[in-house]
Amino acid sequence: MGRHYSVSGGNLYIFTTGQERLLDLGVFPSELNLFEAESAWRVSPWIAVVENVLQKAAEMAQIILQLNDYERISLPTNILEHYFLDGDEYSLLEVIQQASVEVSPVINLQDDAPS
Amino acid sequence: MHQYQIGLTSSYIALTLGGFYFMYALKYYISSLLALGLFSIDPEKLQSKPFHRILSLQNQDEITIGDEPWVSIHLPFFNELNVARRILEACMDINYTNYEVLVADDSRDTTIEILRERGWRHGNPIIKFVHRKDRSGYKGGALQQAMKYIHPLTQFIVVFDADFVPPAKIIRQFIHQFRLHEQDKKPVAAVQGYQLHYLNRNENWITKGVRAEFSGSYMVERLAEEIIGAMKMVSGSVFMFKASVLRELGWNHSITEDWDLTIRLYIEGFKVVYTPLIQAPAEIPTTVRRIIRQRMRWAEGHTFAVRKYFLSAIRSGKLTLAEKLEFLYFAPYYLQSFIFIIGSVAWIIAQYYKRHPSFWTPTLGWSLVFSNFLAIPMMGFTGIFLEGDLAEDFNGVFGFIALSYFIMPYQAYAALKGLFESEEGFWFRTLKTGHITDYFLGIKLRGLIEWIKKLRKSRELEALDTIRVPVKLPIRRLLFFSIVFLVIWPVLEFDSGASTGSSLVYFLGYMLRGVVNG
Repeated sequence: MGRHYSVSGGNLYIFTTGQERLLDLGVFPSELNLFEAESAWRVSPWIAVVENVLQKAAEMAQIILQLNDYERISLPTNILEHYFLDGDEYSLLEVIQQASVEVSPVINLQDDAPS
Repeated sequence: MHQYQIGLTSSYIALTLGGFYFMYALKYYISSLLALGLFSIDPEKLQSKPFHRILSLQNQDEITIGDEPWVSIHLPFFNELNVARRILEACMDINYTNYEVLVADDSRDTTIEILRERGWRHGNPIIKFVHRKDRSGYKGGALQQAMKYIHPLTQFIVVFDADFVPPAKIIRQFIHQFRLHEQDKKPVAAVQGYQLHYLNRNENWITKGVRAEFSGSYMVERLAEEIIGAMKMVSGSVFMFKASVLRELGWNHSITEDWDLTIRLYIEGFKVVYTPLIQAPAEIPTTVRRIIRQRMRWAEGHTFAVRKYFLSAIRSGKLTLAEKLEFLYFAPYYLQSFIFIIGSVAWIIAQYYKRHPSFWTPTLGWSLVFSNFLAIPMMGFTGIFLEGDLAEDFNGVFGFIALSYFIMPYQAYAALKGLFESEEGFWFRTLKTGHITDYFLGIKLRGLIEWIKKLRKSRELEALDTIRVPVKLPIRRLLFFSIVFLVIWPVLEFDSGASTGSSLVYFLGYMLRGVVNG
């Protein structure tokens, strides 16, 4: 159970497991262009995805997410994408248990997803 | 040009175009007769009739479908601020367990603020939002994007435009229809329901006119297509697709993506089933400008797709003869009113100069003009009669007549554009206002009203009669005989105008002699 975020394939993934509910997407200032008209994004009850997020916006988003008790974690893109489709936590939790929670203060868009 | 030549040329133009349009009129009249005939069958005896599946929901209060396959409801949005919340809430109230709602959003306005609200993310049902930063491919592009994100277990996909209010039982109704057609020789790709443009029908004369038009189309024309097994369109909203077929065919970027998909699915050997009993109420465009833009898009996209797939469809061995004939009928669909107007004007010119071929009498000319003119209005009258709304909505038919001739030149221009252009034009969206003058969440069907009345009598529950039952007048017979008269009038006149033998043989012989003799 928890609140996580990940950057994979240039996309920002914000997700929760268990009984946790996703944060209010209105917490992100419109200047970041995350969940706005001019960006491509997706939201389901358990995961929000912003596609092709800019480095600067990702850094700012990370600060906001950490303030809301979200932890950064490295997960394969296909696992995250599958989680968007069906919300099945089983495979996600398996990977989360193996992954180490990162505490990096700065997001690097290039190296987050495990190969 | 000499007056004689002008008159005679005009009469031949009138004869050709009037005769051509009469083919359409004939279809409308026959469709009206079929619909009147079908709905005159006692619902309790319907189960033994060959067309019982069309009205098979009639005797069911609760539709039982057994197991619940996974269903994905797709809602294409583009600046739907006035109606977004309404349709999302309606979709959340659907009486079904295994389903998700997927909003394919291209909005550029504050609709996005509604989608970002946390209240939609409680997980029952699952609501997903997929927002694109551009609008490439318009509605088809958005729906194709949505296909990437459907639940892996999805077996059926339902599509509603944002201004619809789907009733709670609609998924069960769709699945019930699929199950009824499981053993059909030709696989069913989609079930199309009735787009009941009704919510703001009393807003102005335009909304009343469009209401009558849709009633004729959905209660009569499409019903007849279903009865005779002709090609039926998937019409943009209120339909359920088999997910496997949609994954295979996909949406493309046409401005009439529904019609484009319809042709492709028939070419691939699938078919569409229509029933007027699956109904979802919706808004009606409220201004002439909006109607014109909508119809121009339909005319252009429709004609473009016909041109694009014409040979494939005609040559395809997977379309039945009835489907091919319907496709041929659909081909110049948006030029109908243009053909009628030109034909009628030509006839008036011919009459002015008092010139016409010997077999082409003035009575015959006028009978053809009137018969053609009244075909679509009679279909509208029949449709609203069958829905039990004739007393309230009959004047809508006159609004529809006025509207159809007003938009005719625009529609004809767009159809010609679609016929000759190398690429389709833009998609002008139709603004949804969210206005409601008449709310309805049931089934508009005279037969059903009569059936409920009988049921109540049998259960001695007349005191609970809250349903408005129309006054019993011989309107069904009046409509029936008027239609029969309008069909045979030009034929009788044609016969009486001939000097010898069969008028048709005479006419063909006359034309042949003309060709042979130069």
